[in-house]
This record gives sequence, C-alpha cells and structure tokens, in this order.
Amino acid sequence: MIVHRSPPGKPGVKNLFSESVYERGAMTVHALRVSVGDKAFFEILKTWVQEQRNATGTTEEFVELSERISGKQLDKLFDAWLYGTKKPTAPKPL
Amino acid sequence: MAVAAAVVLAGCLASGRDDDRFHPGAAEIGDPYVPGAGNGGYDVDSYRLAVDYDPPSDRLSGRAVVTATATEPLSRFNLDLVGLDVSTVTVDGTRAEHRRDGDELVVTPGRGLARGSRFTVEVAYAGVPTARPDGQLGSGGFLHTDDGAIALGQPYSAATWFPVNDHPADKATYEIEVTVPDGLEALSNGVPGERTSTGGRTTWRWAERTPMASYLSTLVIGEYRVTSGTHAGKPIVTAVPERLAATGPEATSLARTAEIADFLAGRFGPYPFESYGGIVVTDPRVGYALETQSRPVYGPGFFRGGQPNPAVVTHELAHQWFGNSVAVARWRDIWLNEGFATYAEWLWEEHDGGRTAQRNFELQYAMTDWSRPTLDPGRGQMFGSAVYKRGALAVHALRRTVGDEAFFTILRTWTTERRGGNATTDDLVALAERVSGKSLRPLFDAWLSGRTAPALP
Ligand SMILES: [Zn+2]
Repeated sequence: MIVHRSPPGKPGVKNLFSESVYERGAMTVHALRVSVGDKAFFEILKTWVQEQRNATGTTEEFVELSERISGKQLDKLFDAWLYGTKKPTAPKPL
Repeated sequence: MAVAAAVVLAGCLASGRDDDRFHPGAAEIGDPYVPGAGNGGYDVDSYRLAVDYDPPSDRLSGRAVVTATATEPLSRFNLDLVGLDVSTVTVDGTRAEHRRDGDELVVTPGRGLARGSRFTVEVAYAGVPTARPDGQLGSGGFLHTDDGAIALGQPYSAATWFPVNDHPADKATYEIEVTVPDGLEALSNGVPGERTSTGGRTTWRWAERTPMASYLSTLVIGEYRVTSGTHAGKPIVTAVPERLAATGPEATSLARTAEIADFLAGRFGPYPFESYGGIVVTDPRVGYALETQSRPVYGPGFFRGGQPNPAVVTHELAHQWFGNSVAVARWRDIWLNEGFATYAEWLWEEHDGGRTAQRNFELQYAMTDWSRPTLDPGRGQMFGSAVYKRGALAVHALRRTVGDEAFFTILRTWTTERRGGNATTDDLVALAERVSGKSLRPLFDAWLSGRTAPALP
C-alpha cells in the first residue's frame, strides 16, 4: 500500500478556490524560502518556470525539483505545510 | 486459599474437557488492529467464487464454495460478510442453519465438525455491496464506479463481496469467476482462464493457486484496455481504463512491470507467483495503490504528473515478496511489508541512477521522529511514516551491520523458507541471527522500537 497524499495539491472541487489554496500556498512558498535560503529558493523558481514551460507541473514535481536544487529532503516540510491538519512549526533554515 | 485454588483447578479441568467437545468457533481471530475480523476454529484451504455483477442496478449475486479444515471440534462457525442477503448455506452438501450477526455469518451445521476434518461450505448470496469507509485511507471495500465496480482495500475489503475468513493469517487459494455484461472487462488475481459468453453476458475466469491473504484479492469491472502477454513463461495481464491514452503515464508505468519484477527478483529471489500484472483505476476514491496479489491496483493520484511512476510500481511489486508471499500473521508487524517495500524503492532509485540507498538512509535518518515506533505502531499509524520510512531505515541498518553478502542471503532465505506462509518480526530476527552469526536483538529493538535516534551502524 502507498497512500497518495493530496490537499492544497488536491483540494477537491468544492475547495478548489478556497482560502487554503491561496493563503496557505503562499505561506508554503515562504516556508520553503526560509528553509533552503534565498539563493536556492530563487534558483528553484527559475528552474521550475523553465522546466515546466509549455507543460503542467504537479506538486510532486515541484518537491522533487526543490530537493534536487537545495540538496535537502523537503517532503516533510511540504507535507506539513500543504497537507497537514495541524499548524506547522515555524520554518527555520535546514 | 486452598478452596480458591481447588475452584480454579476445577475450572481449568472443565474448560479442558469443553475444548474436546463440539463448541462454537470464535467470532474473531483476535487481532486488536482489526476487531471482529477473521474467525476461529478452522483454516480455509480454498475459495471458489462465482459472482454475477450488474452495473446498472449495482447488484451482485454470488455463490461461494469454501473448503476448510476444522482446527477445533466445531458445533458452529462464523464467516465474515458485510451486508448482502444470504439465501442458502450448505455444509458438505447438507442444508445448514445460518443467521447474521452484524458483519458475521453464523453457520450451524446439522452435526458437529470433528477436529482435523475437512469440510465444504457453500453460500448463495445477493445484494448491493457496500464500501467500508476508512477516513485515513480513502474508501475501501466494494466501490460502485461509473462504468462498473472496484473491490479493494487494506486491511480488509473481501467480506464486502464474498463470505470469508477475513484476516491475513488464514491464506487460501482462489478460483474466481465473474460474469458481467458483454463489452465490459472483469479483472482479478492470478492466471486468466477461459472466457465464455452467453445471453449477452461474459464470464471471466481467474485462478490464484498460490496461497493468498484475503485483503489481497481484488475485482475490477469496467471499460478497460487489457494487455496480455507472457513473461518468463508466466502470463502477464495489465489493464488501463479505456478513457486513458494508450501512451499515457499509466500505460507506460505498467509496461515496466516485467522489467521491475526482474530487477527485484535479482535482489529478493525468484518471483513467487504464477502470473504478473497491474491495473490502473481512475476512481478518485482510490487514493492509494495496493499490492493485490500478482496484479497490483494503482489509484489515479500517482500519475497526475504526466510522467511514468516506476517508484510506485516498484513498491507494489516488492510487496509480492514482502507482504504477499510472506504475509503478516498480525497487523502489528506491518513494517515487514512496508519497510521492505519502501527499501525496495531505494534500491530501484539507486539502480535507476538516482540517490543511493545509503544517501536515502542518511536523509531519512536525519528527519525521523523517533518517538513513533515501527513495530506495533497502533491501528491509527498502520500506514504512518514510522512503518514505512523508519521501517526502511531498520532494513538498511541491518544491511550495514551484517554486510551485503549476509544481508541479501537473509532476504533470499526469508522469501524461500517463508514462501506462501506467514511470519513475524521475531522470525526475521531469528533468521538474521542464524545467517549472520551475530546477536541482533538489540539492533532490531533500537531501530524498530527505541524512542531516541539509534547510533549509526
Ligand atoms: Zn506498501
């Protein structure tokens, strides 16, 4: 068994445009920036836009890319910020 | 004191005598992770199932022939069955009394069943099968879909479509016949048999002749593109919903089944079953992939990226050795399934030119929450990261401690000696000690149950 993890990645039709997708999405991006540092962070964004041009990107691919560039394991961070049902701990440099 | 002792002794003698008399079999197997599941007093050898499913009405009618051996002298026994109406039950060809008690079918044969005797129960039943909702995992059980149905789910789902001793400790062989309207596909476990059509309905036949735990059975009915072939002299059957592109990530992932199974056979020993395969479903309620025997079922979430997903295929195929061929006897040991399947993903990633297993170990070690145990994680954490990730750490810690040669000998001996059976963590520790000649109990205790980070081996 592997359980596929989903929410704001999979908000469901009802919550597709809910606050959590926007507000929490933005907070997740900032948590990533604090965790990996500015240099890696902007490298990730730049690469993401280039690699995903003319294609659709998934959360999994974004996590993959962030890990590749930062050299840090980030699934726990994304899980907590995107899918967790509790308030995540404040981000700090990893 | 003397009087009290005498009373206790008399009680023991009385229950000892009772044990040799015909008595009711237990209504559950006694696994605290799945209260009510499974039954006591017998061991099933085989299920022969013939079910007819009508998608427009969601109605299923079935006949189940269950052959079992009494392990106690039984005056009556239970099978697990969720919903559905039972019309007749026979035991060895003679009508038997039956009644329902929640998710139990209680069968009282005309005469008792002697310990050690083999008996055959035949149950005729029908109704609209139901799901078994489980908030944490998404729906399991029998799901009605827009083009058919999916019967799937861990730790149980079988009892939603046939009467069963629904616990992995009682493995059995299966012959499954599924009749559906012409034009629909009906997929299940094992080797495909003859397909026949009559009166607008088609009967699909499947046989899983290697012992299988009931939660590893599946039924998938709908509009599927079925690909059949042969690999290493065994049938390989994969299926993808017709609405998905033939060259999409689902089909291309399934197409790697044989290659990945061969890679794993090189590490774990010969592939343990008579057939290969895989089924992709699109129903969003299937928020998981499950290692259904010889033919895993993959939910839609794993392919949303548009890229093939060999990692999930590796995980579910690794379970064919770890979890299916060698199954748990109690769910407290589920790390024996998930820890090894997760470790297999690390082996595949290394083989595929990604991170080494050692690197994944280091990264995972650094981020593990050691307050959660891997062994006996509790019902709510059966599918938690302590079982999967910390379980994989324990596997790699064993490898580091005993060395590669002993490690892979342990894995191959495990899959050979325990093939087709059930095993516990204690069995693994004993085997690892025997093969390596080292005392390993403290290592397993620290990596599986310790509350703090173990020293790196
Ligand atoms: Zn698994």
